[in-house]
Amino acid sequence: KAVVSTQSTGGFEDLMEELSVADHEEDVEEKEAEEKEEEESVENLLFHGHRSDLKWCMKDYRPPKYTYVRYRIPCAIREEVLQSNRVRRVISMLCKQTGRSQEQLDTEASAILEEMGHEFSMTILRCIGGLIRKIFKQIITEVTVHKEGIKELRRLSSQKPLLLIPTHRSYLDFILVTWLLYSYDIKTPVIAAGQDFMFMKGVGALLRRCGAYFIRRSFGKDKLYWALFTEYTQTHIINGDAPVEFFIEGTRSRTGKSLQPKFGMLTIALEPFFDARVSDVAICPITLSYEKTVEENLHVRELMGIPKPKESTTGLIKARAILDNNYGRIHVKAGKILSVYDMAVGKVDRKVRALVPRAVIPSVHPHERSFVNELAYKVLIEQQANAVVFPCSALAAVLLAHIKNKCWSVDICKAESELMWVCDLLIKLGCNLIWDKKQHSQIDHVVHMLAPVVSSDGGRVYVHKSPPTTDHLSSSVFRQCNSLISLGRRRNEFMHIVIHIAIIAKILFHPKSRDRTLNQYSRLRDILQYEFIFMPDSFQSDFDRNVQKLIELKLVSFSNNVYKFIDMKVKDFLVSLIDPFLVTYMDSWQFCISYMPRTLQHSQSLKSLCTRIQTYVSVLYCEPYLYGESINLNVIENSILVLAKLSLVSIDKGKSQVYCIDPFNFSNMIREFALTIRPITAKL
Amino acid sequence: MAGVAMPYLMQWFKDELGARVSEYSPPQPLDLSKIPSPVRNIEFMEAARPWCKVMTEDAEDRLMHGHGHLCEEIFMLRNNMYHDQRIPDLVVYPSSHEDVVQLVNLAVKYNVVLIPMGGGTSVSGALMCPKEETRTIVSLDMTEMNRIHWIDPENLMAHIEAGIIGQDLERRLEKEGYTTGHQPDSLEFSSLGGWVATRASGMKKNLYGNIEDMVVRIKMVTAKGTIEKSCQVPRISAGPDVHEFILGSEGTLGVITEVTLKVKQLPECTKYGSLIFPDFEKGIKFMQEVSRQKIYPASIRLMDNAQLRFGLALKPEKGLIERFTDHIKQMYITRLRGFNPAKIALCTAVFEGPTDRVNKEESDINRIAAEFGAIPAGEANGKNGYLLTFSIAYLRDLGMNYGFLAESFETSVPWDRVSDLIKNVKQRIIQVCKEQGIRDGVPPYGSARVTQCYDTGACCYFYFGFYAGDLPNPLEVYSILETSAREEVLANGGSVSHHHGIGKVRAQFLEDTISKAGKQALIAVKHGLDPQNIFGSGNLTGVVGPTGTLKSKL
Repeated sequence: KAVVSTQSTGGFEDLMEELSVADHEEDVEEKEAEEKEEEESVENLLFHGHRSDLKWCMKDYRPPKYTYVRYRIPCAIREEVLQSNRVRRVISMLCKQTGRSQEQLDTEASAILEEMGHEFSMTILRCIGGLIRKIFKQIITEVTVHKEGIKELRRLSSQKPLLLIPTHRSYLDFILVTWLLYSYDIKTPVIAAGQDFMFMKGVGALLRRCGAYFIRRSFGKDKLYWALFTEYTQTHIINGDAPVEFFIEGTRSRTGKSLQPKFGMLTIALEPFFDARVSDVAICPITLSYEKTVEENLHVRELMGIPKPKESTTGLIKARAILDNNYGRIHVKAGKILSVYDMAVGKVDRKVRALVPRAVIPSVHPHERSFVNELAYKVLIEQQANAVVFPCSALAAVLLAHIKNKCWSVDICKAESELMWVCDLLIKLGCNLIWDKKQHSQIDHVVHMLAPVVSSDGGRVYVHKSPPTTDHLSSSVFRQCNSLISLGRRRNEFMHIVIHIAIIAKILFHPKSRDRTLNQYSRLRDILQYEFIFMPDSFQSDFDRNVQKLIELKLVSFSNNVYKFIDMKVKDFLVSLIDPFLVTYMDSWQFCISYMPRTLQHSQSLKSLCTRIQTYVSVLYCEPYLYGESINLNVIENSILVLAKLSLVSIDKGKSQVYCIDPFNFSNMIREFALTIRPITAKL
Repeated sequence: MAGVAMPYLMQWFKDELGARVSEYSPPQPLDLSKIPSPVRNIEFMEAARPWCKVMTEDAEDRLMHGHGHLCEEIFMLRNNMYHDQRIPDLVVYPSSHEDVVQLVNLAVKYNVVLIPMGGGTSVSGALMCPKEETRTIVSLDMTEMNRIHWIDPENLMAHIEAGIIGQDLERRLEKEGYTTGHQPDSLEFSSLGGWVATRASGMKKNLYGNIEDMVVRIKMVTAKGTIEKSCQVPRISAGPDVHEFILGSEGTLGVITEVTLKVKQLPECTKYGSLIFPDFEKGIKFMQEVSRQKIYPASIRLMDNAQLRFGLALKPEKGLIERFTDHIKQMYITRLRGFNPAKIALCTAVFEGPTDRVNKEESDINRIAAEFGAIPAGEANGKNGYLLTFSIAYLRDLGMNYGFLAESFETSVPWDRVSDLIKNVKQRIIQVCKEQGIRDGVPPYGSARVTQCYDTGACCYFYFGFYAGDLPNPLEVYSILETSAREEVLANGGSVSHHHGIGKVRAQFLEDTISKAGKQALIAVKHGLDPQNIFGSGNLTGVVGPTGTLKSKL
């Protein structure tokens, strides 16, 4: 606590100093800035509004209010939740079931709400906002914001309850969204956050005051907790106190790709609509693209199986080294706002719920469930469509291709020309790739953004092997794979753009008929469904759209009902992007078919199975390693999860009992899969 | 109401709706030259002539019998858009039950369509003629059948012909010291037969009941003969009540000719009252509590803020002293009690009956109201509140002169959903207006009131209006708006209609409301009673049975 306060006073003095200097110049600059703004569709959040951070945090902030809002202070919200139908009903039910007295349960409920609820305070938010802006100016080159979307968001914020669903790559996501909304005079959100932060002394309390409310990571069958949490979330939506923000991916993605959506929170958030408590809910998918995330190194280590350190205030202070680095650029885009009402037309019949009185806790109907499911994927795909790709991701792909050919360093001119080629290709494929126009030497800057894994000495670009650590993996494996996984993460940032055509490129190793291509495309897509985001039940249209694109770009030809990939260079590049995943799946499955338990008695937990696979793979190859994915626990886990989806393996809910249920079909599938990815297996 | 100056009305139009005086667009003069010429059935005309008081093919008469009071119908009328519409070919005025029996027989014999009409105040499209109908359509105007056959002071019943108009009925009963107590908003023009055929509801239903509670006996002439009960008793157990087929049949099964109604002695005392609530939500909670305690004044209603202001705009010109006292009252409410003028809601009540009971009811109401933070607002405001109800149709005409389209609709809903329903429906109207590109700066008007309380729920009544003067397709927008509003009502657990009926505009929602099998049952009854589709208005279930001359002969 003490440290935090010294930090803020330090910040405050600086601010005062700055204020006295900046005061005079400001008006002129502001005018100029305004004129500029009108021309551009994006603007830099770091210098939005007042130049002085102090002035900025005291700025006139009058966000539009939701039409039907009743003003409530945080403790009044908690009290209303406690008195709500849902909570009253659950408590009286628990009284009967458990024999506990109502007072006891009431006390428990109040305690849970105390633990969960936010303590929103505008004053604190302003102070922290100023401090954060100051820090950001130090570590971030620029934060660009797409203005169009944010204006629409502001316009709608008075008309409909809002759900903000940002991508989740970094802890900074929380901060950035709130900051963004404050800057543009939109009511700052309440945020459903994991409890990890809550235990950080001081920080938890501060976050609460900025609108975060905390949810236990697991509360499986605790009916009281479930009721309180549901009601607490819903009351904010119904009354429209503030936009409700949560992450559809559930947790930060460590891999640079979108995670599979979680449906629980979205279902809870949409229930007020299904229940006709509100006439519509507006969902705003927000995409935050980072040139380099602050947590990169930690995430890479987690992917290799080194557990993440517990969030703590001391940990945060230790991590202040972060402040010495530069994390490049961040791009924020509020995507197309989805009206739940519009999308539910013909899919959700709200009348069904109207037959259940408000006093009875409603259950979620199957048609509502499938609607939520579809919507979740829509949100993710919209998020991906709005993502920005930075050139360093393209360089990562270039370097990985070289490492596959056992070159850990590349001539800088070669690297630059290949980088340009990849960037051009990505732009052609519809990727929103942005260069930093302010940099003198693009390649130097891009290399710098991949540091410390990559560096250059003017003549060559080097990929470094990490310093050794003690772990279950031998240190030489670790040294190489740390860099490989790190670069793989970066490459993943644009995988959503190429995944469809990479699959097609893989299939079109030989020219194939339309039916066979489509068939294999759908098969591979099924296999990779945990790895990438595919809109369920739309493989046909996705296929047609992407093949069309390939034909238009003259990469693929179509004659006599046969597709043929013409451009070999592009094909090889695309295949090199997808191969790491396919090979890892193959390795993982080959282990599984031989060693995976086949009965419930012998079953083992998913986690230990994945670690075994990882160890097996790490000794399977002799150095140097081809792909980081091979020992990436996330990819390995996905390869098992998909087996469960295909009914070959059984995984229980707690993921503690995994065993093979259909070895016969499993081995058949491996054989078939081997044929699909033949060129690689032949090499092995 | 006539002759009273309303100085605040025009200002309200300007402030709330953004009306511009410069955009005055009066109705076009009626152009009868374009009215389609009638489909004649000479044989029927000859045979029917002895059985009607008047028979006419006059274009204006035919036109006036081809529409009700839907916004859409009035708009078409004002703009001479009836030239390509199907309207009645002949209008006949029977003067007795016997006449009607003969006319229906002839209609069956000569295969012509009959559409019964009373006051013509339908707001469901019930009087529109089906476009595909090729037979002669005869409008059966019932208004010449307006006699009161008898009043029974012993059993408190009256036997009345169905064509009588509401205000005439009340005036004549009043002379004898009685009243039916049925007081729909359309009382000035609507007829007894119409009330029965649409399941009407009156403002004072708490005391006197809805129309289904009032009828003792009904006579309806169908293509297969007259349906009637042989006794007039307070209750009967003789299978499903055949009256239930008649109530709400909307002219699809036959013509209602005579009705025996309950009557009551005129109340000893009538008193108005009003209460101001800090917000609409509190008012709803109050209404619910009143129902729970079963303290039912003859009428009790709750207006939202928008409607309250609309009502105030109708106040007549005031003297200096009145204005001064108004100011004091306003100060008291806003300054001392801290009510927000943009949020307050007004509850109005009518108390009727013996003086002591009226006083008891009034004090009970005030007691409960105080618990919900309300302030009594006097009798004048109460009376004024009801003025809006009766004048709304006139005001719509006035609004149309300035390019506004407006309509009212209603629904019934359980108590726990009343406030959400009202909020959501208003929001939906605003949303659709925005999507349809209604002129910026002219907010659509949407207001609501709770007009009836029941034990388990309430009836909600909405007014909505929007500026359509610069829209290329006003009727289309209007229809989209109405459909979405109704869909929102249904999604919120509301009914398709509390008392306006189905007609044609809400027919699309019938099957969803009463289930497929339920609709099938209605169709079966229609088939059984009217296989030739003589009563071919196509209301309720849509057109059931033949519509053309040839088909029907086969």
